[in-house]
Amino acid sequence: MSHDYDICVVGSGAGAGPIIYTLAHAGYKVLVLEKGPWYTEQDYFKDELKTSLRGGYTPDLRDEQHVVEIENDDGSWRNFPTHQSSWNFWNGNVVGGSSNFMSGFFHRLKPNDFKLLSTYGPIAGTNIVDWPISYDDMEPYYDKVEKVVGVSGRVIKHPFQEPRSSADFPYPPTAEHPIAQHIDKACERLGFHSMPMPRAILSQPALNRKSCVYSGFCGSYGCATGAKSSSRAALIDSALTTGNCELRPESMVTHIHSDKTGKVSAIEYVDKQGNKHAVDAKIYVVAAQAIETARLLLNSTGPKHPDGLANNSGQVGKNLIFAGGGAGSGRLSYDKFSAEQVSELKQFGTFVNRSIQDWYEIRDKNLFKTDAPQKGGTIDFVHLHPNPVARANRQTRGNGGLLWGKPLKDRLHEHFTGGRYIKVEAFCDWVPTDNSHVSLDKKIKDKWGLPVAKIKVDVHVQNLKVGWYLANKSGDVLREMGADNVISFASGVPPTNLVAGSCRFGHNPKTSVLNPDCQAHDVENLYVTDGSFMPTGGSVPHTWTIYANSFRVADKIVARFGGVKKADV
Amino acid sequence: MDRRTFIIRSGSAFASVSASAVVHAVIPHTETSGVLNTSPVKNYKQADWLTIAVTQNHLFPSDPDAPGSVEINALTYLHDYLSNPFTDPADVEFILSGTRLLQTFTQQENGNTGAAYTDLSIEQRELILRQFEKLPEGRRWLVNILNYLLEALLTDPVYGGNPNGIGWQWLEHRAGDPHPPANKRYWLL
Repeated sequence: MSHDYDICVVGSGAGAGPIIYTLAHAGYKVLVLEKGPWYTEQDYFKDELKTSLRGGYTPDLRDEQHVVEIENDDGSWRNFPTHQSSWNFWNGNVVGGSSNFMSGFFHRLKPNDFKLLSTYGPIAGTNIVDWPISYDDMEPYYDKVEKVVGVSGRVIKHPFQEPRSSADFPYPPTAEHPIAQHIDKACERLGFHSMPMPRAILSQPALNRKSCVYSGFCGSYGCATGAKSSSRAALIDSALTTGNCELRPESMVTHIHSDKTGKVSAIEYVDKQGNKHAVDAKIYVVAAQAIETARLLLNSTGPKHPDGLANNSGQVGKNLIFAGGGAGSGRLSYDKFSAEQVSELKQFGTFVNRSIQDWYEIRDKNLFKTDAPQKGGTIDFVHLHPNPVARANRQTRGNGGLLWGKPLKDRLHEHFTGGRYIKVEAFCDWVPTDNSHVSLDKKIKDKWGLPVAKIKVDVHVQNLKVGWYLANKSGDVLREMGADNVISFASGVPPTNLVAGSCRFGHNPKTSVLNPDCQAHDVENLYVTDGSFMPTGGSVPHTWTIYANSFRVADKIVARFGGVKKADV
Repeated sequence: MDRRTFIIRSGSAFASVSASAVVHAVIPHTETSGVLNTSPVKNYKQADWLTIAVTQNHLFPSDPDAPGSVEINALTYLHDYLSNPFTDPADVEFILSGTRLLQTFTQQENGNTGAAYTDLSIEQRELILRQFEKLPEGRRWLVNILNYLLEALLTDPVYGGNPNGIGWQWLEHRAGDPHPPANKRYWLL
């Protein structure tokens, strides 16, 4: 039987890019369907309105929204559509997906992250499981991401340094702000190990891309040089040069059709003009990010899949996870430092680039009521996000009401000119539970008439305990640096840009959606390669692992096709 | 100091200037923008623009060493945003309904004197706005007006506020490169 393409990929972000890149370079015909527009470096500007204030890279919530269900203080649950709230679960509907807008804080998972249950034991009320693969299975692909996608950094010895096949990163660390020295000295005095934070940003020209130019606006912003290792800049642009890859932007996949045998038979999508199309391929890959992937599968019923594609176990959408953790900040007030130090602190553009992983495993009987070690997490130090309108808006909230007039102007001036802020982001596992999942909302539909995703969010107390532990440690560092206005806290609010789970992989078809190769248990020509596959998320941002796993699955698919057709991989 | 700056900086002197003159001074292209006929912003009257301009001036007054609403082109910025066909009509209607509510609220609070909001002294206006803030609708409106003021202060000058980066300079803010060109403002991409 002839097919339009060898492989059809839904989505173009970090979970899709390695598939697209690998298959196209291996000589196979790849079609990419991306619902968002195709922006390049020439379209990305340091424009807070476009990037952050007007939702310039995400759908209009009047047309496409989600329904969120969260727990009240009394244990009951309430739900609301995001259009009527400040919540937004979209993360960058453009070619390259949300990887265009990441900060690129790249950490690998540790070996124990692949066997959380057997290492640390069960936690009541959670669905923690071991992964069906090990760190050793993934390590070659972490290494590949460093070299092919581009990760800058410097390996140092610290208590939880994971095993590596390459001695060091292929690219030196990005340029560092002098504030990093303040962190290092504070950590040295406290006996902590500060380490250079690996970044998915090129520190020098390489891979046919330019170096970072240190504009000072990175996270949330598209990169104007191509230095940020987005799926588009690092992988899709390269795939397109092979002549084997066709990219169709502004193509919204509405249904994945399956036949009476249960296999996918065609993908239906709607183009920008509203015209319907159908394409078929030998193999289909869905990588639309965890929430939308689950929604697409649940909406794609078929004769063998009455409850949604690949959902005969009822597991699609289950065990949704985010990145747990906490946050903090402090200010190095200029009046506490010498003129020379102030001049250094005022430098703009370079990165803080410091992390601590000393508490990736925690022993604290007072907090956890046990001598047994607990899974901990990672602390990243970053600049306060420079978006000026967002910063200024936070100054309008006074104790007795809104601030305006001279008091507002005085506070604005003091906030912007009186010191240098440093921020902390702490990452820990968001443990999977029965109450965090994606389903289809029964009432609200999007502009194509499809039920929207309903996202139920459950925060387990373990997330908060670990989050508080890390937050307190980060506060210690900030105070040791001489910062004032130090705050640090655990957060139970899900970071909507760090989402995974919903189609976990595993050996057992009754408890997982995908097999260890990320192939659907009950749909032999369907793979899922975004963060949906992750049963647990690790105590780091997910993106490096998503890239690595997608490269791993790409090799499985190439092998299934019979190997590389051309020798230019 | 040009005529527009003089008018706005006069504070309560707003009362002695006709609404028409002020609005035309602040929004010189109101009649020529071409988009107004199809935008819900067409429902805004001169008195509404004056109410907004007076409020902006009160919330973010000019100082000798810091720009105020006039210097940052706050009314022009807001007018352009509300006139943009890509702006959610609900936003346009929200600002108008809050403006009208403030006008009505002022009349009610002032009882028999019936003084218009734009005729109040600075002290009287502060009292009214603090009372208005206690209404949920009033607070939401003020939050929005403040937000658009800060956007006019700190967004890229290509959007009409922050002329020559006056807001960035005041707050020693470093903007990033590349800046958005006029043909790639957010609604054009």
